[in-house]
Amino acid sequence: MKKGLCSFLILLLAVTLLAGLVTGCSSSTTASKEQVITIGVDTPLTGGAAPWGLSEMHGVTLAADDFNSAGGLTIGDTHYTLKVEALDDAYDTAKATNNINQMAYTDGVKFMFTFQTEGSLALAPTLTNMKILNFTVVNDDRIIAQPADAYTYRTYMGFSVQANDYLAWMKKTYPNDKSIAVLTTNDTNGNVTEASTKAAAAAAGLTYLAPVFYDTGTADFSPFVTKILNEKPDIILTIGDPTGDVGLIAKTLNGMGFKGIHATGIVGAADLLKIAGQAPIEGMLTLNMPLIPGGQVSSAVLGLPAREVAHSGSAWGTAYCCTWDFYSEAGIMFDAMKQAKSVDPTVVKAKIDQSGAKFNYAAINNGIATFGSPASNAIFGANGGHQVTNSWPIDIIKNGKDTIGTIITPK
Amino acid sequence: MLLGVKDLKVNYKKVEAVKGVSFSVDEGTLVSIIGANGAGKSTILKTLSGLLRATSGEIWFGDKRIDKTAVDKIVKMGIAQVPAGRRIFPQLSVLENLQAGAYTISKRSEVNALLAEVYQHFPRMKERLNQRAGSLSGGEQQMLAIGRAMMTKPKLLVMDEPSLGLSPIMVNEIGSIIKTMKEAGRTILLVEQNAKLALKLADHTYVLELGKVVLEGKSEDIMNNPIVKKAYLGATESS
Amino acid sequence: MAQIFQVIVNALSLSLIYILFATGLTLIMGIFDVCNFAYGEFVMVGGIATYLIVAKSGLPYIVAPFAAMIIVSLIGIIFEKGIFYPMRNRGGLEPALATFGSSTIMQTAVLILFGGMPLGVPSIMSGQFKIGSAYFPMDRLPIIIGGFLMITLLFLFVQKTKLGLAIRALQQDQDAAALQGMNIASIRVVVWVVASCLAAVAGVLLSSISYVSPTMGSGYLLKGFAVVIMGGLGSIPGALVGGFVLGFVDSFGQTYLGSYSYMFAFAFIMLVLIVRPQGLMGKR
Repeated sequence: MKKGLCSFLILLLAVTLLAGLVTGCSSSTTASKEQVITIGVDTPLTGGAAPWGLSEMHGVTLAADDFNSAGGLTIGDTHYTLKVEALDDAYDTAKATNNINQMAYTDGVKFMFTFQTEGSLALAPTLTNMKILNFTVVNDDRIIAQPADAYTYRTYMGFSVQANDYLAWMKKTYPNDKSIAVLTTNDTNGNVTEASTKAAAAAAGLTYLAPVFYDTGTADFSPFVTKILNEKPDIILTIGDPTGDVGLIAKTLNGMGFKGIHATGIVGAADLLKIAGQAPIEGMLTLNMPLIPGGQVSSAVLGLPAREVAHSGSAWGTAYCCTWDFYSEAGIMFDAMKQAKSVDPTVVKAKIDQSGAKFNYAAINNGIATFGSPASNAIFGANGGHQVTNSWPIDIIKNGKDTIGTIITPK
Repeated sequence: MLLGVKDLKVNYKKVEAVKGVSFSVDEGTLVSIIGANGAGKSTILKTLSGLLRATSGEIWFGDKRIDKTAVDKIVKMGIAQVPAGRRIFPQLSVLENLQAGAYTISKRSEVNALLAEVYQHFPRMKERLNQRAGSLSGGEQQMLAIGRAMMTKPKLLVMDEPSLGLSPIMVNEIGSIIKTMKEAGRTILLVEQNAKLALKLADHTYVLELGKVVLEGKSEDIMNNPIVKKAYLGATESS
Repeated sequence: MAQIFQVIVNALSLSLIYILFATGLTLIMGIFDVCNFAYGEFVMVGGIATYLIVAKSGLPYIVAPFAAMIIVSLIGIIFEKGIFYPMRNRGGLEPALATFGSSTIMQTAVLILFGGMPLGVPSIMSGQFKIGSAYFPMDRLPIIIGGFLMITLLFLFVQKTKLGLAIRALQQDQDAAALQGMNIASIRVVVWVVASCLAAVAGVLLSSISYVSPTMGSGYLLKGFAVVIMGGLGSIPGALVGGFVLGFVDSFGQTYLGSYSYMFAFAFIMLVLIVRPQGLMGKR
């Protein structure tokens, strides 16, 4: 009977190795004049946050493809192209920490994108010490409150930066809705949502009701929805919650007769539709960019869904909601490399830190991203330069589809 | 000859517990195997039921060789065991225990007839049909175990230490039940540490020591054998 | 306190979710004395079948449970013949570890085949029903009806049929059961098929109120074990009682204690086990 266990363990090993092969094997080809730079991405490719992570993997990869097909970067006699290595952290701190360590120490990655809050926070000092340039989308403002020489930048308009404009727009657009309550995860991400909303509600003149926190991995939201509905809020904010959760919350809110506004973050109508159905998501507010021609949406991001579908590979073949966002963020990094004419993270960082530097923000026609702005400097002081500033959309779901509410251009 | 065992050798927990044992049981007789603890009695019975496999030797039931046959097939062929320590299903009711015994019998009328027969031998069971078997007294549990074995409609009833752990009064009661069953024409193989009880009931007796048959014969002859008297019936002599 | 009625309604449907998940788990744990860490993946495969049949192929919902039962039963039989039967005499740890590994294999396989995105499955029923001040979402109705139906069928099967009797006998004494002429190997397969069917139906019903993903089952597993242990290992009425207790504790805890509810729920289970180590309905 020992043989049975042995062969089972071998099978287990084989499958694990196979899984490793599929998700992220890297090899670098070194030619005398051809050099491949590995761009490391740590992001959730599975679980409720997978729509974001898969979007990030797609967006960064397509931006790298565009960088390469536009000729890459030639410095002296060396021609540089980019290659993306994406690891799955399943939105889990331990896995994220492990992945970032692996990319930094084992794989020698010099340019990185991270996603998971606690993992990114924990390893930010390490990345600075190792001089690894990191773009992150962590909502927690502590990611910006690093030493001034930190190598980590937030290339997404964190909710603390967006909250004032988001809530002010709601107040203006829906003048009859007067109170707001937050339903969010019981983690640092949720704490940021709560604190930012509280401040922005006061600024916008909305009544701020007690927030409700839930555990990640919740399958039945009825108790939490019951609790929040008991406060009778006009607006329920689920910003920062994973797509799967937002879908289930929308379904439960609808089931319990909520008639107010359900506002969330960068979540695609198509994904919500699959989880919740059409009625529960009608009228929801998101921060997703509706990819419809016309207006300020650039043709570059309009073409992304078709490219995602046409791309070969196991994690492709589907267009995700927020690929446009990550595509644009990666574009900032790659534009900075081009402007700095360097693949040395320290030199690229110096370009980013340069006062008045402007980078291409691909999502918007003639879009510009800067680091630091009057608004972010007001919040983060000397560290304001670690926060990106760019235009961002507010989206209203109508008939199960994303439509533009407005595009906010920060001052 | 209903059961024939030829030169049986069995390993139990890597030790040769049965070292070439032969015995037979004729139809309508009560044969007993007596021996001290560790003599190999239970190992023989486990092999007989198919729970253990012989390293060599043959077991014949009627004209069929059964030493490679599966446990459930052996039961269907007609060998029922009352295992040592009774091994009733404690969480099941008395009736359910009896029904479990009739697992191989699909005809309802046949099951009912068997139940009636069991009630006849054990009127006490009928009173406790819906009681949880685990709550019965030791003697009642032994009766249930025997009744359960009878429910398999056996040609040969094998009993492993039915007197174990029972009070002297209960031992006598079980003894008289076995006697009645024998008188009703059942073929029984009785394995006992209680030599006095076994010799009193059996037609033919085998004495087992350290995995070997050291003595066999008619029970009354064995009873009068001085060695047996000294080793197995000593207590009765001194009292 | 007008919401208390709503909390009770929530608790009811939450309880049935736990019960649905726990019955098959307790059946296997009770009979084989082994933890099946891959049980969540059995449920997940039921969800995948629902996704393929209802969301992908557009077939009627009623096809899903039957297809799911066939697929999951086949997986169950593979587990029995590949892991549990060959390892039956080697204690609880080795087969438990093997199921742990299998759970990872199944998650990875589904991840490779279907990707990590949440796969949406339409609800069986939609809309809501208002009872006084409380809302009852209609998509929970199939869970409640299906849950009670399955518990009843399982109870009747185990208590009233000959095979059910054999399963209970097997649970208590395998050798003694064999001595009654029961074919242990084939009865074990029956147990797996029954547990697999329960998991499959649970997968269909649970995915109808949520979504399908490779890790959907493992999320329920901890609560499932909690229900099984609290109710009493192997006890079907225990799974019923345990599911209701945990459902109510969770519903009230999450509503009134919010994020401390996990701690509260497990502290409650510890308390139950201190007072009754054999579980609420367990027998010593």
